[in-house]
Amino acid sequence: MRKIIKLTFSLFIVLALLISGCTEKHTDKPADDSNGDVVVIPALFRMDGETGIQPHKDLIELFNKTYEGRYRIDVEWFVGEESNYRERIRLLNATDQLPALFTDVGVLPDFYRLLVENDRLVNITPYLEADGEWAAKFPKHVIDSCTEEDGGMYLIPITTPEYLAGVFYNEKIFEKAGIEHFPTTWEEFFNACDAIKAQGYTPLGLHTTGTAWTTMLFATAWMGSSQDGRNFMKLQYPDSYDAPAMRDMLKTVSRLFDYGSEDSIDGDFDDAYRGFIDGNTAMFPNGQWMIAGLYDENLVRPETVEHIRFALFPGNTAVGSVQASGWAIASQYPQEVIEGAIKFVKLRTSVEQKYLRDGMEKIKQKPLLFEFYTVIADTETVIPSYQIKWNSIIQNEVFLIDLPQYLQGEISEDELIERMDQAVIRFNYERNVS
Amino acid sequence: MKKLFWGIKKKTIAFYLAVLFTAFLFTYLTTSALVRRVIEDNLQEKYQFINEKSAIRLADYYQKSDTLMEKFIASQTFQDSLRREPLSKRQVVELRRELSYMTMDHLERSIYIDNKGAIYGELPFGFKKEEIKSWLNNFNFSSSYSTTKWLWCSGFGGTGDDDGLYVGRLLRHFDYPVEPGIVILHLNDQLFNEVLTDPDGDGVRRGIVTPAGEICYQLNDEVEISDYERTVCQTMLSRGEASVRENDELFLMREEKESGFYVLTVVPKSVLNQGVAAIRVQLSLVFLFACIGAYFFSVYYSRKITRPIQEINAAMNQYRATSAKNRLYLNSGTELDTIAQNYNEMVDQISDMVEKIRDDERKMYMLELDSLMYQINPHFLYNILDNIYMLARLDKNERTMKTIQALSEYLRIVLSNEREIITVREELEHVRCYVEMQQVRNGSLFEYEAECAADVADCMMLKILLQPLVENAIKHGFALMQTGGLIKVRATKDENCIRFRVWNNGVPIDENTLQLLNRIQTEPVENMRSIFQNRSGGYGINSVVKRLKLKYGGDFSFYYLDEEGGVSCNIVIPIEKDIK
Repeated sequence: MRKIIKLTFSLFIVLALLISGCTEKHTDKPADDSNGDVVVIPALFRMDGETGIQPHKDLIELFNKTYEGRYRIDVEWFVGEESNYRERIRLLNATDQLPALFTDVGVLPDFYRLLVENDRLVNITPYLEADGEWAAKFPKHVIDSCTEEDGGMYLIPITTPEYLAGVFYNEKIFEKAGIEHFPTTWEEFFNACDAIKAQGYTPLGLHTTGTAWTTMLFATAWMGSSQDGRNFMKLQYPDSYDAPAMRDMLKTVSRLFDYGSEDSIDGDFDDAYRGFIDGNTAMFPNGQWMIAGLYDENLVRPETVEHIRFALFPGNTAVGSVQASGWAIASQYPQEVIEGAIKFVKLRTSVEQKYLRDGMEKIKQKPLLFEFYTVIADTETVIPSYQIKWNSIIQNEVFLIDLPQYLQGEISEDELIERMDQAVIRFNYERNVS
Repeated sequence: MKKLFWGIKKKTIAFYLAVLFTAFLFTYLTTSALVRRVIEDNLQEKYQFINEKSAIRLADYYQKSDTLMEKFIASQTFQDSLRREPLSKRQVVELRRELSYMTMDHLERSIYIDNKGAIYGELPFGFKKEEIKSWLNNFNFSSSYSTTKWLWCSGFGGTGDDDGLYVGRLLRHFDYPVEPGIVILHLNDQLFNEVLTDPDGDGVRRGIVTPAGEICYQLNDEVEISDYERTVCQTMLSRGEASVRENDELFLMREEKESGFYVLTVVPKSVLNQGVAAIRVQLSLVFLFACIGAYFFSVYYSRKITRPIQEINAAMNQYRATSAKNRLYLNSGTELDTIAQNYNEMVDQISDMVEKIRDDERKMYMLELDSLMYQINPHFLYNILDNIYMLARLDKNERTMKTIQALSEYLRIVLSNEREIITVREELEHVRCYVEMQQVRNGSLFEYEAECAADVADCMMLKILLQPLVENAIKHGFALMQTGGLIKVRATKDENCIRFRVWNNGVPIDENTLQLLNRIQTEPVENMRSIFQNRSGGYGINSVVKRLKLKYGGDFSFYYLDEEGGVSCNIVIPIEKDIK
């Protein structure tokens, strides 16, 4: 009995010591802040502040649904003008905060160069080579246009003609002006402008700020009417703007502003656009991306849209560079994010193709959109976008400051060209290019 | 040790105390450990939360510095500073103005170095421009395109006065792939003071740790973080551990991911043990009171058991076959009551047996006596003695007449079979008669004196107790004497007893014989005869003692004393009212 008691006592003590002695050395690892297995792909897209339309919303929802549990596009919607969006992208790059997916890079050739030379963008060529089915969806000229000298492709363009710009016009004004069809030649074009002006309408929606977009669309489309002009527009960063084609263009620009509104010199895009959708301006050059906003009844009266038509520039010319529609993938992200972004852009390509293939009935619901696709198919000449071809100093400084002075007669054509060439020198100087 | 815990009460107390102590030890150890763990977990949770708050504040300051840096990057003036074309004077002024106007909390100074090496902003005293390039290597800007980096290092001057937090960022041009500029912000360490400001316990040390594992700031440096603790921090960093128990201290680190700095909290042993000490004291007090309560409870409860047992024990120790006090009367409500009952029955049975044995012995003695008496026909003897007395009287032999009278008186008591109990007076008369006859026989061998206290003369006693003793005195005490002997017999009252003393001045008894004589009283009746196997006179003593035992049980005394000048034999018997 005594032995049992002693044994029991000893067991108690041992047990107590074991319990008290079993203190774990706390060695906690930091909590994992990740979102589990879902790979989040940050993107920055622009939405129209006035219409509220989020242009890629359907695509994003489709992607998130298709890859639910594996990938998710996390979109920051930038509300503002295209120029502001591009400014934002540039700032984000300078502060090393680029989203994984973003657009409009192709529209800023200098910035694009910067990104490529600093390895800030993913080269998608290997992904194209690995997926022949995806590569086959891109027309060859699109691939060629977007391929760099090193053989890399750093933009993912669209495969459809939405990157091309033409002219939206108000057929009602045209009717009143006695114009039966959209001008097919530049002579007809200027005659039409006269007729429209005589009716008290503004023939053309023009502006000089924000790279003088609408002005330069008309101007560079006009350059497409000559071989010299077409050749000049093929040049990437011309060494000099003192060329006959350029001089010719500047004269045309001056002429064009005879048909603009009173505030078109130093005016901005929004003012020109407002004039068009208010039914005061007859012609407004732009691309397919404008059509969605025209069908917003909060912004544009349906009766106005009913009379808006689309046409190519005279000579069946369209303006645009496929690079402008290119999306980019930032290279600073982990591989799984890049993989997810690649999947997204592949889905985008599929959706584009499907949209054109199977969505025609839906497209027809918007006559203007249907007309765009119908008309654009007749394009004979594609003039590259000046935004891709000319340097940013010219676009952002010369057009902003010097072009209005020229249009107002404060400087001559020679002086303007001189300043443009100075801009070239400065641009090359800054880029350390001799 | 056995004696220390002898007894039911002591064993009960010891048992309860042992159980309590075991339970206390078990509870003390386990509760201490569990409470310690709970306290530790709570403290860990508390300080992890505090660390998290501090990390959020740190992140907030990082964000502010990042936002400030973005302002510099977005500034057109700063962008123009990166172009190949140098800034105009106006632009320089504008840049300096922006540099000084763009500020944040705890900003000591802002410095901008463009991609052409031009330095803008206030430089620390003693700074050498040519050293800035190598100093900038500390930031390791090449690892990122344009990320705000926090760095704790010694300042430009290397004097130590500029040790602090430096925030650096590459300033990239928006469009041109040119070399970037660098913006440096020097923030003072009061920033860390605000980050770490939280109520902390006494002795808790909080600090900021750099990505390299260096403790760059300590809040309230009354007790500095030791080198050992710094080593632990570095080990934690290298292993990616957020919390560690090391050397009875709790180390907690929380990373602020963007800056790469860590918030550190070191909870010392004194804080960890605070709650445990209180619990231990309370536990000890509770158990102390429990022990005291258990002690008194044990004493009280055990008394219910031990008292009856003690009574049983006492009764057994005091067991006398003839005493009624042996009976036990218990009402403990336990099995002890049954034991007491059985004991009483046992005692009754033993008493009956003892009584029966006594009766048997008495009967046997009486038979022996009877057999002796049968040899003597009292009537015949009295007749003969009368005849002899008449013949002596006729011869006018006084001496013979006296002797015959003495003998007659002597035999009268001896042969009185019905009367075993006589008075003390009668017993002393009997002895006198015997002595008279002996004196006739032995002449002037001895003298005899008898003394009887008045209050015992009429007390009753067994007959023929003293005569054998006187006989032994004459036979053995005066064996070597011719004359001068003296025998004194005295009867006195001693409380409730009668004390008889038969003293003689004869030969002293040897030690061995004295021991044997004094052993007789304690010997069982059946062994008494064997004590004096080879000695004469033993039968008389044996008879006296046997009769005393049969009569009084153990309630008498019989002993010899070797006194100076003589030997006495002492008998003490109780005074009884009703004698059977």
